[in-house]
Amino acid sequence: MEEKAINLLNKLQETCIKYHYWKIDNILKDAQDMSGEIQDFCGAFLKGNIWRMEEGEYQLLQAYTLQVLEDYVGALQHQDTVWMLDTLDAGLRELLMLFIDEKDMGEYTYGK
Amino acid sequence: MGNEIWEKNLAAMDKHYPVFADMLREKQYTEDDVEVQVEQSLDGETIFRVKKEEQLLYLGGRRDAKQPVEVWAEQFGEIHKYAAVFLFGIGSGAYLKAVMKKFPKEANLIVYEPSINIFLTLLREVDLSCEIEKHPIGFIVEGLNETEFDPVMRNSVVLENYKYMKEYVHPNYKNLFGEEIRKYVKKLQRYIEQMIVERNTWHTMSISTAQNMIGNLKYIAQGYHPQLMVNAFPHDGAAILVSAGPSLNKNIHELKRAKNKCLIVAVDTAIKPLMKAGIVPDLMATVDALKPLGLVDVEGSEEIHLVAPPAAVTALVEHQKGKKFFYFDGHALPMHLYSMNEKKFSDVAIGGSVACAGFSLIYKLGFDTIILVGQDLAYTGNRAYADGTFQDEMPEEATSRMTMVKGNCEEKVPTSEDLRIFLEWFEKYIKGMKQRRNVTVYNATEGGAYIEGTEVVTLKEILDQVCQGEEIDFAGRIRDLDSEFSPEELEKAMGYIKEIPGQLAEINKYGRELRKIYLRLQKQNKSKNLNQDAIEKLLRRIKKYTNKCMLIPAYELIEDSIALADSLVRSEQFDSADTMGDEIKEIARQGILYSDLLMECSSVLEEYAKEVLLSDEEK
Repeated sequence: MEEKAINLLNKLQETCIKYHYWKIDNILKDAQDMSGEIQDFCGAFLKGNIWRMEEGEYQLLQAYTLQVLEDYVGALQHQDTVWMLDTLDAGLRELLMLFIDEKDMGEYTYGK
Repeated sequence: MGNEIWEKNLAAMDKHYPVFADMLREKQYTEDDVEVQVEQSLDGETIFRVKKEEQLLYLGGRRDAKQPVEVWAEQFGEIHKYAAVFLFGIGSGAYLKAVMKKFPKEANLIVYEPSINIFLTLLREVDLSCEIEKHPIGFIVEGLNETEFDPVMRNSVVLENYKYMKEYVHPNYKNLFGEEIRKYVKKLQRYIEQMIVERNTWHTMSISTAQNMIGNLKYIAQGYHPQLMVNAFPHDGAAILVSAGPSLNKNIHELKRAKNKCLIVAVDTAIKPLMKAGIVPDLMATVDALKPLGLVDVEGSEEIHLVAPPAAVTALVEHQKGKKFFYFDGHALPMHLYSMNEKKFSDVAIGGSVACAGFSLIYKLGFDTIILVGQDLAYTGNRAYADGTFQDEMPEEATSRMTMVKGNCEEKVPTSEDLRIFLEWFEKYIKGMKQRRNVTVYNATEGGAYIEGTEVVTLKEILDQVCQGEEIDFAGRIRDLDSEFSPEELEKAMGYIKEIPGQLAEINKYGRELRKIYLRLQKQNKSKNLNQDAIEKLLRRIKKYTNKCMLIPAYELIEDSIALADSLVRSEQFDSADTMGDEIKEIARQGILYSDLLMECSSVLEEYAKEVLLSDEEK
């Protein structure tokens, strides 16, 4: 999972850099290209409480993941750049960071 | 709550633009079909989700609405104190608020919002009263006051500050309001491009302009101006404007049969290819202060009558032995030769190019059928001009980075920035012409850019139509025209131009005085005890001598000559510091530079004017 998270985070970072620093606002294709990996990564949170978390916490995590996926699909459907960027950067990132230590992230950090 | 915020926002607007606030109160707007849903982001910000036709898009992040704005604000960078900042799309005001946090009080902020509904929702849902009160914001809202964009743009962006301008399009606005945003962004870009083109043209020509005007004064004083030609021949036929575009190669030979059937006006650059093809136009138009004589220097061309502005190349003017018609181009000195004799000095719209001037001339002469030949306004076949103009065979040029525009024969043709501005001039001018008279403009270029308002034809087919009826010796009738001036008026005008060297000498004298005063100002500013009274006295004397200079008619010649320095000086003033001492220092620095240039230019022009305008005895 850690490896998946790092790979996905790198792609997410690249997309954000493109948007914020290179001013390329059409990031929806990049986002779409990540769909397999996003589905795969997020799917892990929906297969059951394999990390043996407290049930209440797991329910919240599950709901959060579902919301991220729902937003991801919604943003693609509506071709909404703002929605997509928010979903990836403020939504998906939170899930990815569960597996990544911030000190391993390198120079560019964005988000919480 | 919505009402409270609305009232607060409008009350804040009353401070800077009460009329705008009243327009909103009185609902002097046309609502659009945009629906705005108001939501709260997880980080507590008001965000909008906008529905327009089939689209439904967020204007702010659902989870984190603040962070993208903060990153953007950091990227946006420092705003120069005299900058104009354009925001296209206001959304829920987050980007506006971010910009306002570090907005200099002298800078201008213009916000264009394509949807009145979004704007109204914003005013009801988001408290912007602090931002609005703190600094006037130029709100331009579609459906409310969109016509104000142009004047606001022109007032905010000038030659001295365009390089500091910043613009930003709100996220998702390109998707929702692409057409509207593109329209205004392009408007802004074109305006700046035009300003740069004019500045560049002005700089290049300014020194030559003064010398040419002095050299041409004795010809201007002869009293021939375009309006004299109005009654010289009938206008129910056609007039042809021949320009030097690359497509001229294709159909130039057709023009032979138009001689004495249509008035033929040629731009200077087209003279050589025309003469080589055995076609002698009735009139030659020239405009540039820097045109090389070689362009027209071909046997037989010297007899062609000339139409020119006062600042046209003197060498070219002198080369032409036919009648020389001058028109008012905004310079007061040549106009004075007419007004002193209580005569009108007719004008021609210049438009920035000789073809524009030639076109306007034909229209003002009264012709309702105008034919354009060689008017490519594009790099047809990747060439800039017709063969035989600057070179016998014009080379191909790189056009891959040029803008593509609709063509007359090809679907698209490449065109340059300058040519695109002239193309727009033609379109605007033709539109105006047709509003005033029943004019038909045929574009018989057979290539080049399509000009809105023209009928595209081949030269052969239009000449088949118009070359009927009896022959008219247009050139002969022009030759036989009498001057506007009687012999006494001519003498008076010639007498006046002999005063020009003396006027320039007087300006030189004032320049020396001004320099002394600026040096004293500089010295006074450096002293430890800053004497406010002394400084004010010096500033008053500066004003006095500057006004004296400006009241001398020949000062106009100096103004043109120091244009480059003036522009540098004016743009540097935006980089100056803030204290009173620094301001005085800057005034003195600029003043010394200005005085030096004033003396140098007046001295050079005085010598030239003596040489050209005075006889040996008078010198």
